[in-house]
Amino acid sequence: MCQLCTQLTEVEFIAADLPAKWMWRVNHDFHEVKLFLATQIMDEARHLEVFRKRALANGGGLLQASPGSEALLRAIIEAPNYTVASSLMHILAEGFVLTLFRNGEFLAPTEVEKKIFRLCMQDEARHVAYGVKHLKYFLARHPERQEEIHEILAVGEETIFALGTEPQNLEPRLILAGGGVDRMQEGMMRMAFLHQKQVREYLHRLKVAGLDRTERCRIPLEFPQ
Amino acid sequence: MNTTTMADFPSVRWFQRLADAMDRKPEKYRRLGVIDLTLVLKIDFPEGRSERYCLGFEGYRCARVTLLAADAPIPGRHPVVLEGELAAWKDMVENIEQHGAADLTHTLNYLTLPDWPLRLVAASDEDQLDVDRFYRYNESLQEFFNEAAQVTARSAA
Repeated sequence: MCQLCTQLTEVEFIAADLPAKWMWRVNHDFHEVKLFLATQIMDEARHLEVFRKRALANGGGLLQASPGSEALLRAIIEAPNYTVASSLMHILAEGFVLTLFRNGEFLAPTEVEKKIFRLCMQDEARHVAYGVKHLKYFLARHPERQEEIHEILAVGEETIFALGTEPQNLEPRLILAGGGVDRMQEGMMRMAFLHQKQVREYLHRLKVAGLDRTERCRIPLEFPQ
Repeated sequence: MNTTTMADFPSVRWFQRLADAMDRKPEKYRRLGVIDLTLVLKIDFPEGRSERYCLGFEGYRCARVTLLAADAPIPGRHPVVLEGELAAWKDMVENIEQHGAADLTHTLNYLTLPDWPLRLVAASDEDQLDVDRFYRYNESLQEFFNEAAQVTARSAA
């Protein structure tokens, strides 16, 4: 659980930094967007705080950072424009993290952790919904920019898939899902099901936004065994 | 008011009791945020028939509880269907009654994440976003079902 919370702490830093980076650049005519981004910064600050505290709470502490996380987070924070950044973060990254939070609630061994993941899940779903609606609005007015979004999502998908297979990210989830170090294989079967659900939901959200990546998605539907 | 009822589960009256309990605690639900969702609970009975209960959540309350006819379209905004066998529903409700709230293995998220024993099914064009609303209001919905601890469930089966 401490390793999972370490990864989530790392992710939440950028989830707050990204909207902060773009918020002041958004024109005041779109004041609702600015207000929403302000609420997201607050949400992510609380997520960062709660996962860091949870990692530290029982003496386990913050554990290993992940090169895969850093690669994905760099792609998000260095995205060349807001819509590209939002597609990467709100739809791809937060969509996957939303499933991760659902999984965290499912696996949580205590009521406290269950509540943490449930409340974070609510926030994350709100951010994902914003991202989908933003992309839908954007593509309806700029269909010629579709390819740009496809290209950045391809990069993001490769990065997030690599991240998901790193030992420091995968192993703690297998142990939690299986119910112990000696039951990781069982955990692998559960994670494979969850992986499929994660990818399907991601592709479905993109379709709602007006982007079909079913044939182009770089993340395999079958989780490698 | 902390009374129990002998209304059968499932029934409009039984779900209305949960809605009434929610109404009595506006501050609790206000802290969890507004809800904008039509949650259809599809309960599959062993003999092959199903019942669909439509719960219309608006703001901080469950504004409508209706039993839908077999072929009736789902009314309301952002519909999502939560379906499962009667035994699974009963198990959840009994667990809530027993513990005062869902325990670790009977929360809505726990029961729906593996698509078994309960399953979320989309019901509109923008379906994934409506399914996402179930995650978005999950804590409020969990608290709504936890109100069952105050409602005596007597199985219809």
